[in-house]
Amino acid sequence: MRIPFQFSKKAGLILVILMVSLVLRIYKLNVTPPSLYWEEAALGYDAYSVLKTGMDHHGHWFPVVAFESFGDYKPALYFYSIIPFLFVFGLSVWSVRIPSVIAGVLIVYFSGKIAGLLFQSEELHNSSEMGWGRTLIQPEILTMIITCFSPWAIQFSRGGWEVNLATALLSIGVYFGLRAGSIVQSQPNQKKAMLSFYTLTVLLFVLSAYTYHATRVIAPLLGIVLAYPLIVRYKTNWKQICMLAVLAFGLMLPILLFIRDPSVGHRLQETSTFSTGKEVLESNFYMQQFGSNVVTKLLFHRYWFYLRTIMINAATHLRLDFLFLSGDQNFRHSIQYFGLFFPTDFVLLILSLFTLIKKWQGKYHFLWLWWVIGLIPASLALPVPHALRTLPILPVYMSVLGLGLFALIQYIRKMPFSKILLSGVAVLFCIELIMYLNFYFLAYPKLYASEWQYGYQQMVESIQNNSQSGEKVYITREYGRPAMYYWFFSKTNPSDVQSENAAAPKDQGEFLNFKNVTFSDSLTGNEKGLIASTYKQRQFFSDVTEIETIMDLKGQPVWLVYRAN
Amino acid sequence: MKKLDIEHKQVFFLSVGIFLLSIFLRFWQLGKIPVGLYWDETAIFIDAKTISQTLKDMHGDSAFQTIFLSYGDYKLPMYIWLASLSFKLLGSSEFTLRLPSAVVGVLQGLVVFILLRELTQRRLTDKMSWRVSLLGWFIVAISPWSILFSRTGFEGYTGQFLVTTAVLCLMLSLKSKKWLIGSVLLAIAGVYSYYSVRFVWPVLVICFWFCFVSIEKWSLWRKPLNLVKNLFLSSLPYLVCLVIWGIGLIPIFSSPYYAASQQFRLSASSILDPTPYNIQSNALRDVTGNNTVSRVLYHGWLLQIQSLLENYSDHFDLSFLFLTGDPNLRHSTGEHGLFLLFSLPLLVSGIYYGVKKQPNVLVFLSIWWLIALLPASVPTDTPHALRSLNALTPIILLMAIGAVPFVNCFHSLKKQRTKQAVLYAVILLVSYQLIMFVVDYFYVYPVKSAMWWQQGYKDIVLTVDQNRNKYDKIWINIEDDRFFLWYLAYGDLTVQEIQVAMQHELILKSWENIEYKAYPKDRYPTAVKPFIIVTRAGSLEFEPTHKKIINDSYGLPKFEVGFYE
Repeated sequence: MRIPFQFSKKAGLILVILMVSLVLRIYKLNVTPPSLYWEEAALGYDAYSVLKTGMDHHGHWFPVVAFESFGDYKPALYFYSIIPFLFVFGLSVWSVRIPSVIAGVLIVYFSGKIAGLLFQSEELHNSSEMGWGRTLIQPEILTMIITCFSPWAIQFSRGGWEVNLATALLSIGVYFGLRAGSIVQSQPNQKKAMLSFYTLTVLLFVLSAYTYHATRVIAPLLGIVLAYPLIVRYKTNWKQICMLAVLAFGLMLPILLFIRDPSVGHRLQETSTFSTGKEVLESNFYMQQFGSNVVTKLLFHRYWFYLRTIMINAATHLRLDFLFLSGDQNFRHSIQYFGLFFPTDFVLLILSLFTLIKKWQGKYHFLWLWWVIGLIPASLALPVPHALRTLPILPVYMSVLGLGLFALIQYIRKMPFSKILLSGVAVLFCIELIMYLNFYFLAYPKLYASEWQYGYQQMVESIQNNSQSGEKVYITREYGRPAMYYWFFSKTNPSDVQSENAAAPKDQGEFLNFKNVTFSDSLTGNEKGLIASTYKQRQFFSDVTEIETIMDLKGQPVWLVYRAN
Repeated sequence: MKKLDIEHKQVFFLSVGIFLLSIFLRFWQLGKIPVGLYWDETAIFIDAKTISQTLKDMHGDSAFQTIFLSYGDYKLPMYIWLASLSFKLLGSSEFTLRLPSAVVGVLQGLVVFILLRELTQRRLTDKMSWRVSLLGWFIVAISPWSILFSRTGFEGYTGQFLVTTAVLCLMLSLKSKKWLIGSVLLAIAGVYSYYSVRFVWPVLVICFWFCFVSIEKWSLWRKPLNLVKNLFLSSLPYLVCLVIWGIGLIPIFSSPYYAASQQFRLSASSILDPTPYNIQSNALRDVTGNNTVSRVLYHGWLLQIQSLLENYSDHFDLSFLFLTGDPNLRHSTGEHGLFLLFSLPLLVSGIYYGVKKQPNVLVFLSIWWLIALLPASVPTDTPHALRSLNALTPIILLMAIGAVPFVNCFHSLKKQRTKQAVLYAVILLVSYQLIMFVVDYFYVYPVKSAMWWQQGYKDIVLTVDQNRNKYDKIWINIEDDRFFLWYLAYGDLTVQEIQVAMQHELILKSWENIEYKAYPKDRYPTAVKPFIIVTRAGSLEFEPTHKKIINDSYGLPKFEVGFYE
């Protein structure tokens, strides 16, 4: 009779953690980060376009592999995940970011579940007489807590980041894959359960490949690792292996068919770390020095130099300042005042690694394999280190840190004055958390507003409120991609955009003219009509009526809206 | 008995091989690679030259002083004394200047070998202990970090060698307390070589006592009084050592140049300057409401600590350690890290082995490593291979110990063929990396690094010297106010003339008919000919009668000597 009660204790705790996660991810979502980045605006508007017309703004009918976006291609799933929320919130910041918030909460839950599968001993699973303390102190719950408050997880859950959804799908897939793997090992007769878990994994992994570029590399490799218990028992399971392989291959076919098409390959080419050709030059330089013969060709082959570059790139992701102090150099990926983890998490990481070494089990191999596979796409691309491309390994770090926290608590419990020490640890953690949240909600939006293209919404609203019918409108491209913001915030009918798609002048897929609105790099001073520009371009005009100045959050002017007579 | 002989023979031959390798890597082309003398080396060159002939330095101060003025760089005496001795015995040249460092480089391997033997003799089997010790010696012999710094007249290398030797004496003191005297003397000599040893040594002694001496007493913890008494008694010899060591440093503190030297060291850009942190702190406080909470959370001290930790973390960057090294090409070849890549798994396994089997050794070596990085992490230009040189030995010791799990793993292989294959693969891998490094260092590095070694300065001096008597005035301006050092080192001045010229000067602005400054343009029409102008290539403003161009290592013009007749 006690088991249900015990279950409810744990479930209650998990529920509380998930609620806190949700609050941390949804609180002030529309204003922190301070505004929509242009990729978010594109995600939102194309989703809106598909909802209204069944086509993206370029007029492609229900894109499956990728949406064309500013000369680049974005995997499709995140667009579709926005659509349900368009019904609720309309075309707004909320609907673009909510799928990522939900993905963030799922990551919290499944990181914990994965940690539970890997680190939880059986008696902890089944013990029915656990008090609140013991319910709390188990790797599963502690991992959820760590993920709930993790700066890295929060950063990417509070924006329209496709990678966050991909990571959530990947972690759910991993969870089912691990369960399937353990069934293969311990209950080989339960083929039905095993197959259904593996099928779920395949489906989720395929979905993640349709969500984000890097997971197209990660998901297949990780899938093979997860299927390893099955593959080594191929004699009794070949049927299942074939079925799963066919399923995976079939579902991935659209991506595979377009692998040479820009919609799949463009991103890889554009960001490739080898695009500079540095390695080839270096290899040639060495061969010139020593003459080109078989030995030098072998010693100084460009592949060695490629390998070296990959290793250097991979190594940057282990930099301690990146992980614990200042994070990614991109202001949208990290808040700069904190790393991917809290500084004291370093202690947890070390403790956890020691614990793993001391109590090594075969199943832990999965962790480092996931980690290595997750680093591959980020190491082949620039810039490095990259918090976004490596997000799919977030659950690895979270589980490891969760185990570290578990080990720390166990260790302290054996010491004298354990309660005081534990409170000390909790206080330290709270201080860090307060510092983080204080910075995130108060300083970050103000300091980095320009990184999030702050001011577009206010500018477009001002243009909307002040333009007279038939009047020419000029918006400068000084802050980049104004057309998309214009459509998004003015909720332009997508079929109007599609009808102009063929005729409109463009730069990298970006409209330079839309109906009566011109989006130009620079103004001449001869334009007549409603204009939005910076103060620099405003100076070209002598006779203007100033309408509104849009300020950023630090009180600096971003846009001037005025009428040139 | 016979078997033992074979074993010892193997050890003997291997050690002779490693010894010869380390001699080759340090002495071959010692005077020519690196391709020129660096500022500090040139200054030491001049001091050693004057001391070897007159027992007085370039400024006319006695050779037996504890801080040398050295054109305002305030150098410690040890390396200058060693170089003077070398000059006295073998004459003055680039080779003899670097000779003490190279000898120290060779001895370092031997000391590490003995140190490892002492460290592992009682903890491992005899055979394993020999293997580990030989491996340590081998890593010293071939690690780029050790090779690069033992091939230059940088005093840091000697400093860290003396610290290593002093630690060896500490180890030996576990057998006989007499060794403590040696340890103190070497540690004092260490401080006389390199400033940062001051911070490293006391921590090392305390840590040594804690890890190796006190450890045996802790079993008395049930009798606290007894424990305290025992701990105190066991620490007494080490405390006395520290006191004697402190007394040994008094001559440095009482040097007339001590205060100025400290001011000079602190004037370098470092995190100790609070100004930028206060500015940043104020900015953060402003955007977060400037209340009590924000005043605490964004205190300048916290930002300073964060900066220190970031600098610290730079020294743990795997790229820095194993792939690219210091960005400064005097401290690294740019193609290799401080260690060859094959030693990375050894380091990881060393830490692993330490955790599992030798926690006290691990703690001692880790603290040695950490404290060695402190002086390197305070200045802002991090990572810094020279200032962190004190970490060389502990890292190598960890790597050597890391061989144990690998050897055990190797022995657990069952098939003889697999064993052979693994062995050959390892030998191939290590040889490949070593060959690549040697080829790079001796053939490519001289070209790439020439500008970091003031290449061309010596040529200017020789050209000017040949013509000095034929021309009325010589104007030298190559945008380096320390160029005069090369003239003092390679010019035709006698030692007495140097001392007269430098007696009241730190920076020499002119000497006889040479002016170390730009040619005053307005004087050209009325200038008394003949004269010479030396500038950077392309900077001669008036067409000379004839000119000599001094090329850089790539064959491009670097300096111009214009002759006006």
